[in-house]
Amino acid sequence: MNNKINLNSATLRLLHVKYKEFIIPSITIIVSIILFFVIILPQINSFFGVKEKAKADLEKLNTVRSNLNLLSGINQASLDSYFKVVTTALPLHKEFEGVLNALSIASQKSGVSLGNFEFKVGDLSKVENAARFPDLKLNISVNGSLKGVANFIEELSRTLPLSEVTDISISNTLSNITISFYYKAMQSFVYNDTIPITPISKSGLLLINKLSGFNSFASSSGGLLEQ
Amino acid sequence: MNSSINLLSNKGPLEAQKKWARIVKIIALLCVIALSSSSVILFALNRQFSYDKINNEMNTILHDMSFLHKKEEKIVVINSQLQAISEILNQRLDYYKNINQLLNVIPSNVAVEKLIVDKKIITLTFSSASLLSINDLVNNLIGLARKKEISDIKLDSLSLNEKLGSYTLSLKITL
Repeated sequence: MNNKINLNSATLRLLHVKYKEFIIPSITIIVSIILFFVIILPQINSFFGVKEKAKADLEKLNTVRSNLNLLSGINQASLDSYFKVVTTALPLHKEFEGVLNALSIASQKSGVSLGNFEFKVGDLSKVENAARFPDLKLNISVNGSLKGVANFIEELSRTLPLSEVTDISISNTLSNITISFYYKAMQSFVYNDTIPITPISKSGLLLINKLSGFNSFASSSGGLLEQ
Repeated sequence: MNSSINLLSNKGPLEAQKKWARIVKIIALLCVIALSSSSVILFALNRQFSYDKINNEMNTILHDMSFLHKKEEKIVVINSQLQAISEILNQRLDYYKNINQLLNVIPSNVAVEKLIVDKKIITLTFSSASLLSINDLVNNLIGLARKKEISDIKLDSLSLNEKLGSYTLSLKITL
């Protein structure tokens, strides 16, 4: 018996006739499998990525929406007066005028007179890095009794901008005091609407109220906190 | 020729082939249905998470927000300054309280010659013609230490100036 198969056109025609019912379904199955792996499976994989991204985008949208509601609901006049109070208490840069006014107010209220003073202002135009508590140091002589000096320091502690007496040297009726007037520069602000904005807290509002009761050149000329 | 007498029947293989052809056709049909339905389902699911609606709303809100940037900046500044102010007020030393406490316990005939405050240490020099008054002063200061108003008292010196007839007391107080 001859085992050789001649693959000539007659054989092919014979095979075609014999198996023609299988050809189209087989091709369909093969193509379906290929399409499944090439198109459907990647689509399923990307679907989960899309779902996660959509969830993240929705969260961003909710954040932006609540930021908008918060900002729209804030009274501009109140915000301006809060801003005025906090930047008077802790200026955004070295404030020469504020310092002199604070000294003047404290000396008037305590009944002492101020002698020579010396302080280093530095470059007024230079923006310091937002260091923790940068300060403007001032050395001043105060003429008055010990009680008067104590009153001066007390009045100064209740006067804006905020200050702290770091050194005191009292001898008879002449005193030398070193005072640090604080300020805090803001780093450059970059708007990012997708980050939640923190509203002013209740304790923050209480502090603003407390600060508005301090002495300042603004409060002496009108009012620091506008209702 | 009578076909019913044909001893070589070939019905078996043919039937099997037809059966297999039917099965393959059914499988092919199922494949097409599965492919079509999964495509439709995936399309519907992707439409559900459409970006267009989210993007449109986001753009509208961001546009509205652009007019409120000044407000946003002010709130950020206010919160930042308030945090620093709170820290300053909590940490700063209010020496006037300590000085007033000391003034309240100094007997009337004792004079303060010198007072130096350096960080938390107060150096004091008193003078008085009366040793008894100096004694009262020291006792009063010890009283303050007992009440924890001051943490430490250190006597530096006690001297007598015979010419002036006055006693001079120097001490250091730690707050």
